[in-house]
Amino acid sequence: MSRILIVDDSAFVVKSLANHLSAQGHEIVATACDGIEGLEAFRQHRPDLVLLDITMPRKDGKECLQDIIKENSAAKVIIVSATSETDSVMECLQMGALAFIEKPLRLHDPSFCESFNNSVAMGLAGEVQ
Amino acid sequence: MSLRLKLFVGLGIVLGSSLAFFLYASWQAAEIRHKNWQLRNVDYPGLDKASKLQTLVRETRESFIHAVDEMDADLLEEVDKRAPVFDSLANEILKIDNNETIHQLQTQYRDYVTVTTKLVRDYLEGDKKIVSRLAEANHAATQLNQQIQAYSDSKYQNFIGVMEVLNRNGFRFVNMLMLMGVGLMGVLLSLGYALVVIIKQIEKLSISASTLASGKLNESIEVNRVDELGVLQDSFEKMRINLKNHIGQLDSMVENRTRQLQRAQKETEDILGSIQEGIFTVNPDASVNEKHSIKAKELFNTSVFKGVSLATLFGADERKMLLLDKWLKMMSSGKRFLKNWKSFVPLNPFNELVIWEGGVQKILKLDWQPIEDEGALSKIMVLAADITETKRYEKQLNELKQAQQLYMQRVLACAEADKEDLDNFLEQCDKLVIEANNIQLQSDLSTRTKSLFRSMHTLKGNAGTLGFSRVSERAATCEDVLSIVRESSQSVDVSTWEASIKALGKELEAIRQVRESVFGESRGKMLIDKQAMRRLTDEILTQPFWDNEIILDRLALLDTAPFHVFSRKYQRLVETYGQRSGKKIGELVIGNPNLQVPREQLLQVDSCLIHLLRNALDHGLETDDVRASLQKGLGRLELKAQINGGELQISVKDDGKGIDGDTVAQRALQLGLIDELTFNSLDQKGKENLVFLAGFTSRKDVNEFSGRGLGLDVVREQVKAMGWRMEMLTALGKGTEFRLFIPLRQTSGKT
Repeated sequence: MSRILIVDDSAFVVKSLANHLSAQGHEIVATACDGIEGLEAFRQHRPDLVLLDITMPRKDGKECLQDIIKENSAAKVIIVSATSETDSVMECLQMGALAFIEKPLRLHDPSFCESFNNSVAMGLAGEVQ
Repeated sequence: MSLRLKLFVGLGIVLGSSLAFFLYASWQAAEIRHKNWQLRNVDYPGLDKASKLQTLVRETRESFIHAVDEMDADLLEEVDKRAPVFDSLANEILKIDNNETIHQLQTQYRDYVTVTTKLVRDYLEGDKKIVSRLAEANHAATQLNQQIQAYSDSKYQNFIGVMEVLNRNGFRFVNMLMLMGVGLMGVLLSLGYALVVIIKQIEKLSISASTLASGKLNESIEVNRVDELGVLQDSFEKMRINLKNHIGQLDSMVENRTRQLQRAQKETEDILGSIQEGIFTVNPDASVNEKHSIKAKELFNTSVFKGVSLATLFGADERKMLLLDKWLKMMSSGKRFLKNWKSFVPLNPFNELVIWEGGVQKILKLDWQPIEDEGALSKIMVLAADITETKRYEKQLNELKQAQQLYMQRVLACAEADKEDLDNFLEQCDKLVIEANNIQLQSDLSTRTKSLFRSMHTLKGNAGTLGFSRVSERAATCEDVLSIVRESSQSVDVSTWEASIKALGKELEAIRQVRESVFGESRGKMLIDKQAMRRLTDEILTQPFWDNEIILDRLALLDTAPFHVFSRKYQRLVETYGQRSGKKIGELVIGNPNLQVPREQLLQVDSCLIHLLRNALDHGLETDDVRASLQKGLGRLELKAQINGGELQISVKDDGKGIDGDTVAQRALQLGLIDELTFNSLDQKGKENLVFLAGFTSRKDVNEFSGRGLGLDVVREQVKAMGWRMEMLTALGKGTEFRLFIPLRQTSGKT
């Protein structure tokens, strides 16, 4: 249905997200393991939605988001992060990220899945302020 | 400026201007009259000159008469002087009025002068006979003057005519203006009167209106007119009465509403008091509102809510409060945050709050709910609940879960290891622990420590291979301690070392217990379905109310195999036995061959199944001859396993002659197994069940396999001893079915 880019330095997280989203019928157009690769992949693939981690080597999620928004102010980005990063997450949300998915990804928990899917839908619906 | 003043000023200006208009017109009329009079007395330029012409003619004539009278020819020179004067005057008149008469007059004058001059000269030179002609000349002069007079008169008359026309029109115009001025004044005066009257009424109304406005509704409004203003007054009066009534109603409504509100407030307070959750509201700027449920005071350990800050209420550090501030700001910064409120709640740093109350920890769960006002966030309701107990319980559960996880790990590892390997491993462990306990670390650095270190290392590896990860961990700890000693020759705190060894020993003891309780000394490797094991592990870990005994029961059940693995043996038995008994058996049909059945129960039920199968072959199935005559074909047996409602059900079914209760009862009576009385009291089912009696046999011959009347009796005894159940279904001519019900222990697993 939608073309999604996943940016996260943890291969495990990337794999879990990709599996879950593919099962929902989405297409994972690319995955990246840091902000620099993420931005490149964004430029190259122009995805419908970006799932973005905050803490990453080389270029973190916040900077990456900044660059992505500079590239395309209507870009739809969801932050995937632990709540220990609240500060950065909130900054990203105010910067223009559309939703937030909490780590750890408890994808075996139905209620978590529901809110996960909601957040993805929210991101795809994407009313950017 | 009041309306009246405005009106008066307006009317005054208009009246004044119309008066000025009238006066101006009268002045103009007087002026015309005066000019007229002046004009009548002023010489018309042409006429003035004409009279001069007349004078000239008269003087010329007189000059001629003088010349004749004085007999002086020189006087004629005067005449000559006058001629050009006449001409120039005439020319001037021509300039004004180019009239033919003037030209003629010039010519006539010139002729007159010429002729008369000649006549006078002739007369003076002696020609006296021309005197009559002189009279003619004199007459000509008179005629000339008369012509000039005629010209003047005609011109004057003309002028007067024109003047009169002008005067007539001028007066008519001025008169009209005066009339208009007078009329206008009249109109204005009456208009002014009307307006003054209207204003007076309006003033009255406005006084009434201001009386109404000031709330004096009891003063009635005078209605004394029938025109539109009267209607207006009337409306005012009605309005006054209506207003008075309305206000009366309003008063009682306000009173009612006030009472209602007071009641509602009371109710709200009651509700707030009865709510079992701590509820209060926070504004987007993090200020706390005064309203709260009574419980909130207790939960947050505060006596007031008025003016208290969130930081005080939460007793939280600045960093977290800053985060909360940011969160509140974010959530009130846009509709999208409000719309998807729930998904942003995890970012709130206070979803859980720890409060210290006199050295006791209290854990509150805070639920942040938005209160919207016209699509914007107006307030946030905070619902607090004390979850201290829940948390404690959760912690205990987690510990239990961990313990069980560990237990399952041990069980799995024991289950998967060969008996020999496991024994060897445990023996090796024991030796090592004894050695470790004996070693004097400080004094014994050399060979023994080294060897102990190597043994510990090996143990760690072996434990890992066998799946005893806890043993690996414990061994690694010991190894670490030893390596410190070995490499740096440092002395190590004895208690650390002892604790490490103790932990290792404890874990080994736990494994030994599991091994004995699960498998016993005699048992070898279990036949475990790995997938079933994994399912059980998951189940145990997600529902932590498990007792180790129950886990063992469930594990025993895991020792399963597909039914056909066990039933092969019975197929062989039927084959062999059938051949010997001389009965042709089509086949032993296995029902549910792939059903996973527990090994333990199947082993227990083995002898019963053998008896039942033999019984079916010996007594159930007819002989080949009988079957042939009944056209029943080859004999058919069925062995079927089912698991239903926590019971393993195994049935043995034949398609033989069935059991005839009456025959059985007769036989039993013959064999002396029952007395007459019993015989008579039995119903059909009771008679059929006599087949289970010890010593009962329907056959007279006894063969190697059956016929001693022991089979069904043995089955019954065992069923009874094991606490199982058995059912027998039989239909004459169609066959018999025996069903064994074996309970599977603790399948539900929960206590």
